[in-house]
Amino acid sequence: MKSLIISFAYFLESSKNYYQIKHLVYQLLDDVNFKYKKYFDFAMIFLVLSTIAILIYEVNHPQLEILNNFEIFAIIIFIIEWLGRLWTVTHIHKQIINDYEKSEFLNQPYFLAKSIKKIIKDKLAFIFSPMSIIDLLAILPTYRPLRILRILMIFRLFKLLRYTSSINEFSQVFIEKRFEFFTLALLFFIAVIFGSTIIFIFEGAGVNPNIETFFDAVYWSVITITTVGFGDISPITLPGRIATLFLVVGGLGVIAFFTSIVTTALQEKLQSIKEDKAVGEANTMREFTIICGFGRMGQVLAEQLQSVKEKFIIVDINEKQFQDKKFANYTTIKGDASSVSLLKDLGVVHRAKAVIALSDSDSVNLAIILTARSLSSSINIIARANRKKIEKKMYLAGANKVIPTTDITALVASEYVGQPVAFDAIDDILLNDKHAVMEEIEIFQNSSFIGNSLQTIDFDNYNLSLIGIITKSENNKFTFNPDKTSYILKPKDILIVIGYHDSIIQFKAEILSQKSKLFKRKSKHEKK
Amino acid sequence: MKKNKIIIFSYNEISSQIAHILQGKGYEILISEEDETLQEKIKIDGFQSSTLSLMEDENLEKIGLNHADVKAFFCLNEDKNKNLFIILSVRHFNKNIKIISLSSDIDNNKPLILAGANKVLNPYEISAFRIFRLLHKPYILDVLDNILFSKSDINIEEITIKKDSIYDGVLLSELDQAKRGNIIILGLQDKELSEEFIFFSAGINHKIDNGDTLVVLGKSNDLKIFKSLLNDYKK
Repeated sequence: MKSLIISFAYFLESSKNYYQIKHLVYQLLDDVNFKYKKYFDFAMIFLVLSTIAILIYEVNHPQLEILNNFEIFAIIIFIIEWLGRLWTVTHIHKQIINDYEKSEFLNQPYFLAKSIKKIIKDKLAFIFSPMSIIDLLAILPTYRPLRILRILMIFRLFKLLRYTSSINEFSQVFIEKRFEFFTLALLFFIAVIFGSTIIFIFEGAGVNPNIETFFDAVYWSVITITTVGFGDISPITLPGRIATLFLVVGGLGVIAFFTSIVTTALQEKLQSIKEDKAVGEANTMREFTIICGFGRMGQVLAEQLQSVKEKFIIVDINEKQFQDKKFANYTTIKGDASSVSLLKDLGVVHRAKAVIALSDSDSVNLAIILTARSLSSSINIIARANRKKIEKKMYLAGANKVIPTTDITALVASEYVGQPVAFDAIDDILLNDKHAVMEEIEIFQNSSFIGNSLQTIDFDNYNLSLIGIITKSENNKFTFNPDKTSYILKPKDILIVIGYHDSIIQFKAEILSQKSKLFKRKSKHEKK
Repeated sequence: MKKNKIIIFSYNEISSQIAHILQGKGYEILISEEDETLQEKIKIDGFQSSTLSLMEDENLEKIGLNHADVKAFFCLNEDKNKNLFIILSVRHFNKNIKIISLSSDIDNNKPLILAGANKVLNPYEISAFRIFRLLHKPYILDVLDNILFSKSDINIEEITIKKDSIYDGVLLSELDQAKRGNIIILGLQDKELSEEFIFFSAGINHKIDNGDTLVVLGKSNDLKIFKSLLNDYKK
């Protein structure tokens, strides 16, 4: 029997299907970043809300067969879900294998019971966790003998917490602020005991017909202290009324204290929820750019990246920068971009492709470069240098490219003196206007153009001018206006062409599908 | 031969760099800076300077803004209102001078152009576009840098077709590969038609007239040959 269980555990360990299914179930139930989880969550929320709706409907309506069936269906789903969680929370077979191998290693006899004890302990820990208890409370009332517990079905509403992570965050507030809440509760408790004792002493002994037991006194003081004041019990003696006055004023203080704790805590939480959301978005992105600093340069850059649908995240230490409505659909994070943990959270290590340091302080940019470089040796780092002297330091720190703002502007400005028309042409190209664009076209590894001369591509046919070729295999050598008959295309060559947007798109599409017009003509030629 | 002159208003980091670059290209530089404390620095950097205030119209003539050899006027003060004022008075004083100014805010470009600036450059925009290129089309940026900022032998040049050139009246497409040599024609600007630049790829059927400006790319030598070719006169 024991050996059978052990071999079954090993069988599970080696079964790929078992793992895949278990992992899928886990993702569906618990992995926030799993893309299908939200559909599952929506379905569960619908089930919970609809069963609650049925409960309300049945209060003053006759029971309907179909609703009962639906209820049973929902319960079955709930049970399956709970069992799924129970299943995925720990790995039984791994426990068995671990214990077995350990005892083999130590050359001691293996006791199955020991493992089972551990397994049961782990599973029980899950069963008695708050979330699991909520699940159970949602299931139990359906059991006929426990029908009185129908009211517990309301607890199903708590199940909603499971499916909405932001509400979960709010419940965190109560945990984080537990000291404040504890103080508040103590204060409240003292005030209630104080008030109810006084009223009970003065009016309890048959003076006030409404106050018969101590519980009446407590009930009265809670209603008074919270400023609700139903008025079903009210003091009739002078000392009782004086006590009420103190209680009401004290009650206002308690309410104010409570409100301020909750609002400040929620506000803090709201900020972090927003950021978590942005970090969460970053977690699903790949090949994106992180813009650090959202001043005028950052805004122009973001606009440009947006226009070509490149993905990016903006980090700025000052959240005021994001408040303009224009930036509402950007992913923004308030934070210090030179902090290791933030950049790491954003995925500098593996997922981001570039970090752009655009702060207007050179030292901050330097810090961003160093941090980003320390996290990833391959990420593309571009920085803005406000003073030329700092440029060298930035390269030393690990920037791939440094943009000295004044230098660039001076170069462009002085170029404008000599050849304004030429400059406008380049300007047009650079600014990607509706006119002409310059484009890089890469010859892919298995393209059939490789080994042929440039003549095989008919640029005129597409109304394109070839400016030159960058030969990647020769250290990115740039050949200006290469000779069309003698230049042989090599894999990974990059053609630099100028032309209108539409013709470039057409050209690109056709060169990728390798049916350049002249290419065909040439093959005909060869046949002859 | 008298050197072409550039007048730069205000001395600061960016104007000093522009002055250095242009001096390197053979222009004579005059800095107009009222601040006495900066005069020493301007002298050390090797530029002529004038402390006359450009806010007074008569001083515009005194520093020579109406001379034919003054090619361009850079208005680079940090105070945008002062820039506007001076551009307006310089434009009023000299209709033909090229005025280039800077603005740090895109919204400010329009008033400066209205005041009479030919070109308003925005440092933030220029740098941001550069970073965008670096991310998006790194190779093109490299190629353009080589061409524009003359790190290599390849240059961009504009050639204005003179009257009676043998190419006066020829279709753009007829300047075929053989005649072009090892150069690329990017396009041309036809002053008669519009200020807009016509790219070669779209303007094949455009007739070249005198006064048109061709923009060509090529190695310095080939450009020289092409230039002399274009300026051959009809016999």
